[in-house]
Amino acid sequence: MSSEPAKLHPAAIAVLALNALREAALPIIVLLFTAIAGSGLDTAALRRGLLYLAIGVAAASLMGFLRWLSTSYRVEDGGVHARTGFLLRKETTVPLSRVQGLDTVAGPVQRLFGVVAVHVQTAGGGAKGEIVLEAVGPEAVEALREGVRAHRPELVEAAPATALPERRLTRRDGLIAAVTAGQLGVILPALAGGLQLLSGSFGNQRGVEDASRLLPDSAFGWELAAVGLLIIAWGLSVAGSLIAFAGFTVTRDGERLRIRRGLLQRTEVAVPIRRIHGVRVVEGLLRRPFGLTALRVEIAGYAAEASAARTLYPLLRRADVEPFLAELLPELADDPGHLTPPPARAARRYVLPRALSGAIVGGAACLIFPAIAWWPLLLAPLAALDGWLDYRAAGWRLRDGRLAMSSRTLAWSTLLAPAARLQEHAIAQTPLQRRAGLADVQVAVGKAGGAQVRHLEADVAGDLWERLRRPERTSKAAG
Amino acid sequence: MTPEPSRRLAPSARWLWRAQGLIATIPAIVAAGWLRSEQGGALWALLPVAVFALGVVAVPELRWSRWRYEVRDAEIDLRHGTVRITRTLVPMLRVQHVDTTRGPLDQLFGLATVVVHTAAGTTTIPALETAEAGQLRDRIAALARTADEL
Repeated sequence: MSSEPAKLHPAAIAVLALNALREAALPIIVLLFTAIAGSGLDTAALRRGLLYLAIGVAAASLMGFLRWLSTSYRVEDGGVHARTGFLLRKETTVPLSRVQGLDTVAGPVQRLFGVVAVHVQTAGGGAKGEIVLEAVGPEAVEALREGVRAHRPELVEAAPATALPERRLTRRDGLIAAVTAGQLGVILPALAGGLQLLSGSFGNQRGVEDASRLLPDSAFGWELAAVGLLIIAWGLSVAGSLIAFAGFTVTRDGERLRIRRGLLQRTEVAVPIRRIHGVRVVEGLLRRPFGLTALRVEIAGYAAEASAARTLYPLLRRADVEPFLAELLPELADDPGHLTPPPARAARRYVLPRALSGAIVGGAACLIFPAIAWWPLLLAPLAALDGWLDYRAAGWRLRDGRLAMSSRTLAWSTLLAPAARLQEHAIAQTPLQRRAGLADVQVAVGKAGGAQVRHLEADVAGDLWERLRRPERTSKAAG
Repeated sequence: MTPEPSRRLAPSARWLWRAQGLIATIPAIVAAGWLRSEQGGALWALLPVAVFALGVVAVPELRWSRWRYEVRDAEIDLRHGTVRITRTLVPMLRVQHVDTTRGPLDQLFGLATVVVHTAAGTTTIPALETAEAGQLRDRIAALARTADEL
């Protein structure tokens, strides 16, 4: 099916004008500044400044109008074509065979006019689409989808009448997700505690009095300022997460997952199921104690995008993970628990090297800064605890051709992936491990994603490596 | 257990790595000289000696003797490492494309590196004879194509 060249929705004028204004913001500000600075701030200068501003807005609007006028798109000859530009004409063609999806994004301006921006996604493209249509009305989006569907029915399916499997993040869960997101929430109390310790170790009793006088000239004042800054940063990160995850909705729509999220910027992404190579169950330090997790997808070709784009669901109870996947992503559904741990004799190999490096760093800190006394040596038991938690977190399972591997680096992480979709896998041994009959197993699923379980029995690891080599056989034997 | 991969890298790979080790020794000499003039003490001279012993004498030989590769119809099998030995398997189905690269040092020694690209990144077979690297690249490319059609 081919279609006539279509124009963008007139709302595109506003979007494009704003884009032009944003690009020209710096020169305009400079102009305004020189207008005022030239002869001091009087009414004439103000009037001149306003005039420049009006000229800038008018020029941007004209630019937006011309760009709208010169932009058209059509689906034809097995490709999506777009042409734009008034003086410098630019024509882009994306063959339909290379189209990975039509994503719709609704920013504030788009929502004001009830339109969406359409990003034509390709495998090689970045976060933005290869072709970006700034404003497309609802019927035009349907027509565009219709045009693509005629060639690539698997990419765009008819709008379904029946209810699809769907999960929507509640406000309460969104708030919990935002508050517990990020490592900053961990750093903050740790740092505050450390500063408390520091000020305490200097042996002064002035803390409370000085705080009430709010004098920032003392060391305590600087600490207060640092803690204040951190609290502000944390508040910003919470607000950012709240906005990014507001109204988070996942829908299973045939061979695709549709993920919608965002408060100011509504983003809708369609991820083809066959491009999902794995699911990662992540439990941050603040979430683990409450049995809360976040789900991420490992997608081929999406590595460059922000982690928000790889979020499958921002907050989920651990017990709810398998039912969630069974409903929305049965191809990868598996139990993140009940994994086989490394042998008990491997525990000291997780703990000792960590404790040793902690002791060395702590000891060095003691030697270099004798003023801060012995407390850097606390690093050794802390590092040992870290190693012990790593040991407790490690585990694996290969069942029905599905691999589960869990490990920990601050956050607990469990990778669920079909063995047949691994990009590569490896077994590794250090001389010490060779002597002890232990080995590590590593797998890679995407650019950003892999997993490793350390210190398995060498024969168990070798057997796992062999079974991963022939995943078809394991799945057939089990199925 | 699958038999270990059998093919070795080009013997001149050792000379390539020794040359790289020698280049790494230069900044070590400079650093040692600077530290000696700043802090004094003759022990700093051990720094370039250590870099030389590791980078030129020990590591290239060890690395070469450990490196094995084999390209089978359905997979690429690698074994490599100096201290920690890793055995990696890349299924042919996952290979997106493959190319060969030649740095200035590679060209000096008549060597080339085969780079295999998957969705998870790249895997390399370094320091092969140029002609052999070319054949290997073409073979992997052909195998990857047939694997896709299956």
